[in-house]
Amino acid sequence: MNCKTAQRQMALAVGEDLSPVESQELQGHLQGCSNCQQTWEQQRRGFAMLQRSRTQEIHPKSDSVWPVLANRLREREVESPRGEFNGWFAALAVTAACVLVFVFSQESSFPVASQPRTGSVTGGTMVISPADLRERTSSGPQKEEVRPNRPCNSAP
Amino acid sequence: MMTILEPQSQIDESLHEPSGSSDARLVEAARHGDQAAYGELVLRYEQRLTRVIYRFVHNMETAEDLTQETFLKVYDRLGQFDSSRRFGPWLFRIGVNLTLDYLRRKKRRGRWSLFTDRWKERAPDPPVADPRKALDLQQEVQKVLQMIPENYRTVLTLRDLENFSTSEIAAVLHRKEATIRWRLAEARHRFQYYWGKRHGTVLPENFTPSESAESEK
Repeated sequence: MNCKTAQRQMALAVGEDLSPVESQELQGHLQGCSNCQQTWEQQRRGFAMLQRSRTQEIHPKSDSVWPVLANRLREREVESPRGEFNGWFAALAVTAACVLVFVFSQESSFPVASQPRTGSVTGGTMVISPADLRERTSSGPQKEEVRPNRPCNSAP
Repeated sequence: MMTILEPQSQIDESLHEPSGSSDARLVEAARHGDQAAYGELVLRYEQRLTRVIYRFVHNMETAEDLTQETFLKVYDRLGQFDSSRRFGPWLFRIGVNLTLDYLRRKKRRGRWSLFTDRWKERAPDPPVADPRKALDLQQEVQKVLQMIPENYRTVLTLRDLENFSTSEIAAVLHRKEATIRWRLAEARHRFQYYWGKRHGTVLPENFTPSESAESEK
């Protein structure tokens, strides 16, 4: 065993982490190597320091964490179906919104054949300005009769 | 004449399951929704788990919070547990990983606060000697441990402060036992090196901690 191997083995030996065979080999090396003997003593002192600090008592609370934990698990179980429902609800809402957008976009891309080219829609009633009406009547016979918008109190 | 102690029987309090229903049976029952069975597992392991976590975080309240989080996480992952293996090491692996993640996040926050709190006033050092002299050794050991890289420090903490066997640490950290022994030797060397450096004691001539990657055996 060379000194480098011995140094590594010493670090294990201080904590009794060597097999009996390895311990014997190391002991054989230490007997004939004063340098490694010094290192061995230092290793032991360092390890002893670590062990002394270990004696600090650690006292977890005497109360078990289980009652709190059991409550948290129960709460999660109660919450989880609602969470699932919320997830489905959100998914359905998004799908419905997508369908509506699609339907409206399809409708707007196909013009209605009977719809006149000019005019505006006010409150669901087609309103054509008198000037438009004059233009349309002067340009030839119209297939559909469009009445100008009149005030409600005026005579027909 | 120096003597090297022979390996003793390991561990007064190991990760081996206590008598009564086996862990595997309790895990199986818990998987099928039996919360009382899970409660028994919690009662079996909580004290030991809290102590181990405390060794890393040094605050009992935080240790207990992390214990709770560990048990919640374990409950969620019961379906993934390989029942041909032991429950204890699996539980401790999740607990130790959760704790190390917590410490990494805390460290990152600490670095950030160095910038954000740079100009805030700090409390002056007390003019009288620190009355907590009794804690000096623990604090000093902690300071030295913090100088050791995490993968070595974790092994050292579990072996030398919590008395896990190297095979148990291998199971907890999911590494080969040879790797754990390598890390343990390196960790003890580094501890001794930094301890000597801080306290002006003679350093081992043939050892200087290297930054080279360990050989994963």
